[in-house]
Amino acid sequence: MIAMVLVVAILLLLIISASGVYFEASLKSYRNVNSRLLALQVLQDYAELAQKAHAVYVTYNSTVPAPGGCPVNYVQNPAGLPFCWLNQAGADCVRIPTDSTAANPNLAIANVPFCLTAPVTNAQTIMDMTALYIQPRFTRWQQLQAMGEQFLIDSSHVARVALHKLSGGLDQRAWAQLAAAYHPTMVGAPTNDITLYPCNAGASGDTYCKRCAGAPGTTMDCINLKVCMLISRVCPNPQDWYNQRVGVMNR
Amino acid sequence: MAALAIGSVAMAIVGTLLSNMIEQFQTTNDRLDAEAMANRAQTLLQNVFSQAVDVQDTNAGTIPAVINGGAPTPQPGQILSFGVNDNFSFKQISDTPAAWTTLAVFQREGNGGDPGKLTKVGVFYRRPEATNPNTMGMIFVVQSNDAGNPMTPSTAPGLTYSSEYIDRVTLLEMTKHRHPNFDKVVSLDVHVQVRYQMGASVGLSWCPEADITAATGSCKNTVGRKNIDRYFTILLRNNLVHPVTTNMASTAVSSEERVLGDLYFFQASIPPGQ
Repeated sequence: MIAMVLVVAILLLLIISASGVYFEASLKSYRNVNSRLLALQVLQDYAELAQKAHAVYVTYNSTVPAPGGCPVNYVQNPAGLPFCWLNQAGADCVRIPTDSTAANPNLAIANVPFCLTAPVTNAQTIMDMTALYIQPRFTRWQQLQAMGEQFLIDSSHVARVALHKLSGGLDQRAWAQLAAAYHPTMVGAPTNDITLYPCNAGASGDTYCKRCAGAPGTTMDCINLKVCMLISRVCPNPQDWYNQRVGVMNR
Repeated sequence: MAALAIGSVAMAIVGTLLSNMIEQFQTTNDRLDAEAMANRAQTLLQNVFSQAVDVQDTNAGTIPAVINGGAPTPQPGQILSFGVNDNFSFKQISDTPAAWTTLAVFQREGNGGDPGKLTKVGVFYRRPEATNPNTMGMIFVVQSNDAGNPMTPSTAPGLTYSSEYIDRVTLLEMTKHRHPNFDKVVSLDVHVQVRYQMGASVGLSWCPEADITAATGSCKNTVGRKNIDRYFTILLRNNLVHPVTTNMASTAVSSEERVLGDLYFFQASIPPGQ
């Protein structure tokens, strides 16, 4: 009798332990999806800020005589590129709405600010372009964690009864596809497909393929934006960053 | 003797509990897979559609083959829509008589470097079957520049389980939003419904709810199931509103215009595994 109870107890312990691994993997998947969607939204919002910064430069430098550089209270960054950013603390921030419901009090603060790293001159060259860092300026990074943890809580009532998939792990097929959905190509010289469609490597008025580098007036002014979404707020490796290159077409 | 009886009762109780636990866990396991797939639907479709570079709004109910070939003259991409409401709706099996439907074919920006590089994209839907309820609804996304194989369900390169896909789909709706002045798509509302099954002993069914209610074919209401609905909007931020050779409607300025004005987005680089 005692042996029987022991066997059942050990079996239950194994189940609980394995299910913990399983749900941890699920939570990681959920966090990754949150991070990806938020990162892409942040980068897109910053692209629009860059668009404004470019317009300020173009407007300021189109006056006669052309003064060069940026107006008062603006900083040209990266140096040499036509982007004028507001040089005031907290000016270049975007806010990302997150889920907020009465049922989720941890999400009571519904906006998360992302700001350019102060001072705004913090820049670094990657490849042939210059990038601006964007980092989350959180007082409550836990909000994002809470979104995932709520999912875990929702599922936890059966975590203790898990038996299936003792080896743990999320649907490996889904994992593999999540990894394959993106094709980072920031390393090495990109190629230009000139055989399928008329991509003339940045010819003026080229509608289909865009180019950043080149003589002014014939190509776009580009800027690289990168954002760190790790919960630690530190991205020690280049591949930890989300990178987004945007171009502002000359008019 | 008494100990044996007590032990037997205890084992019966434990066995019942374990059986119930297993069933509950399998339900939760399937739900987590479905949640992951719903998330994937949003991120995958967002990724490809937001990078589309030239998608017109007009569509006559099928995706014409001319887009598939394309070269040497670029042809605008199209997203499938029925009727005048600019939407595609699959709520029941009879909505798409053919098993396979081409949802969209277009060119997308596909390079994070300089210069950009375009990649052809085909999005296909394989609907559930009334005669075989075990057939899942699936969305396939094929990305290839293989000009020799047009983007059709029968010839698209790599349209297999090795390509990117979303399964468990029992309902799919897409509504396009047109630019007010030009025949171009600005954004796309998507409603995807994925399903998970409940319990271990019941059968599987992937028929749309409408067909289960109507008992279409073999779509019987004999299985435990729940559906997860995911609604999201995709901004076609890279879509060409008008080329540089066309003046804006309100000005005489000749400049290229995209959905976010003069912004052009190269392919984002995502951390591996994210």
